[in-house]
Amino acid sequence: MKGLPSLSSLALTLRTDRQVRARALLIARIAIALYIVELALNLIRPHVLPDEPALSIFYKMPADLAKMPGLGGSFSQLLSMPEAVFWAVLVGIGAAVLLQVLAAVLRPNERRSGLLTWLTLGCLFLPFGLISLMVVFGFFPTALACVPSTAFVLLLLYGGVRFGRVPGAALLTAFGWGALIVFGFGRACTGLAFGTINGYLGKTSGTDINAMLKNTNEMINLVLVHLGIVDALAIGAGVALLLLLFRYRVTDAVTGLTLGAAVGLGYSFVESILFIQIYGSLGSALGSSGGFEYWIRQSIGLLGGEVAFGALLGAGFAIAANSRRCVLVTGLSLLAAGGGAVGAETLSGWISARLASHVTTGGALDTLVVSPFLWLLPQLPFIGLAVALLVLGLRERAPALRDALDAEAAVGAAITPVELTVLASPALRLGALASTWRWYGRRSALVLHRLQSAQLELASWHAQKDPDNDPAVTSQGDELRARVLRLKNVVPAVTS
Amino acid sequence: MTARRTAYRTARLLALRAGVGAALLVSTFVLLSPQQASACDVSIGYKPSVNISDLEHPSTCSTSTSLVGAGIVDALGLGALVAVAWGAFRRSEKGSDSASTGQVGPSPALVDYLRAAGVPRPTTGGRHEGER
Repeated sequence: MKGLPSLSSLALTLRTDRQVRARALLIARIAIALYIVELALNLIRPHVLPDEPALSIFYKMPADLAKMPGLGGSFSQLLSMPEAVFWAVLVGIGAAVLLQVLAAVLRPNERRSGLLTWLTLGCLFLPFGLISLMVVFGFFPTALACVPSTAFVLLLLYGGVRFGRVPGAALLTAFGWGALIVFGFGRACTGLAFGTINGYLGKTSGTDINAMLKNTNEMINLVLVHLGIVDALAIGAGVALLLLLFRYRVTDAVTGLTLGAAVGLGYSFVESILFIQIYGSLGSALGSSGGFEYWIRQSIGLLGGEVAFGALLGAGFAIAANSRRCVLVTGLSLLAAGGGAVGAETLSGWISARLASHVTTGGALDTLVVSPFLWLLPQLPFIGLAVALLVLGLRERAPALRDALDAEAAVGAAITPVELTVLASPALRLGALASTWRWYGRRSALVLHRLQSAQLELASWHAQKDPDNDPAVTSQGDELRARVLRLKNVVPAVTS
Repeated sequence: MTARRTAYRTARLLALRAGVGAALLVSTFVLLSPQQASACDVSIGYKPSVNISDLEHPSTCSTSTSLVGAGIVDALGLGALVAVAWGAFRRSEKGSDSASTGQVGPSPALVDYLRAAGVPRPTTGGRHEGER
């Protein structure tokens, strides 16, 4: 893709130094420690049924129950962890330990040490992604139906901000982290927690049907809280890792917000597929349908849910990185994203239950107005906050863009004074593109678009931080300048 | 020319006001009129309860109605993007001298900008260059 920066220029801004490797391994160790705690708690849970396996995830639904319409297939994947994935995770942990022992014994150079770190992270995290892949490929037609809307939002995230733009590869990595790791890790941990909670609550209810119903409600509440916390932590881990990798580029609230939204979008993509399938098969019993889930999750609420909460978390993390109260801001971001996700879903359900008593659902008004309104109402303050952070972040960027453009205009012909006004204003850039298309045709407009993108990338290079004065970063500036001059058909002056 | 433009602007403003007013009126009527309304289950947090009457007379938020809604939202979203682009284009065109003088063709400001940017401006075969 011509608009995307080349991989070599991206690699220059990727810093896989010792600090990044140490932090990445720390994040992985915390995640695996959390998973092992979940396993241990599940192992020591009280057993409700006489023939229950040691780990609840190995429990097989009785054959006659599994044959009931809707209860097999998609529904069984709501919080489950297939046995194969469980063993793959254990093998991954073993392989990661071996790789780290190898690194400690061999003491490799920087490049090999980096490679071993990324291999270790792959062994630890990728097996969780198998859960997501099983959902995506298991319900492939539904996944295809969700692709256009998801791709549209990804393009918006990529094309919406051009100065200090998040590289396309980073955006896709963030999306992949959300789709594979956040969804897989969240389901793996919450599947275990579900068994543990069921063990404790099921034991107290015995055979009393009222107590069982009460416990089921409590169980759903606890599972929601657990899923919200684990998902927020996993989204935060991904954003933190990406912000660290790109920390010498422009990493402000807008960068964090974009990355967080991309992680949330990846998560929402897989979750939507699963819910569309579940409600598609259990629709008549639950009062919803697969198409309704598509409408809520991939249309009217596409920018809500984990996309909004992920954006909030990402912006919070980026602000925390540049703040003196780093721990406080990080904690508040996690609270806002995790608590918001749980609170919004619980509150929507609660209001819906109050409305639903003795009333028939299913009309056009319920489908098109009431349901999305109640789903999005509790999320609105969080969506508003994310939008406010985006607007404030973009306003803060405006003077930085002007300074960067002035700095470049002072040193060469890549940006001339005549171009400054247009390049500094997103509205004028868009207007110039549209007018060029109208008067000179598509080809000229495309040339202008490429040139503006290259010039803004050069301006972003001026704005990025380089405390180490790395010669590679300086040469990257020369490369970007040469690229702009090539697009302008200007022969660059020979410099000694 | 100016009188025509003023009349066009007034008509557009009136149409916009009438549209917004009608939308508000319809929304208020729909929401305040006495009817039974409820929300369909969206997620785990809705704690779905199944009872026998639901199974006998299933009433769901149907796929067909939902897809109509999705189509409307898609059209509105794309329309909003086109409107933003159109607005930027109009502002850009209005900012030029040619718009005020009624001259047909690219504004001098655009020509200067494209010249400085080194963007090719086809003089033969260009879409509107011949109109100048």
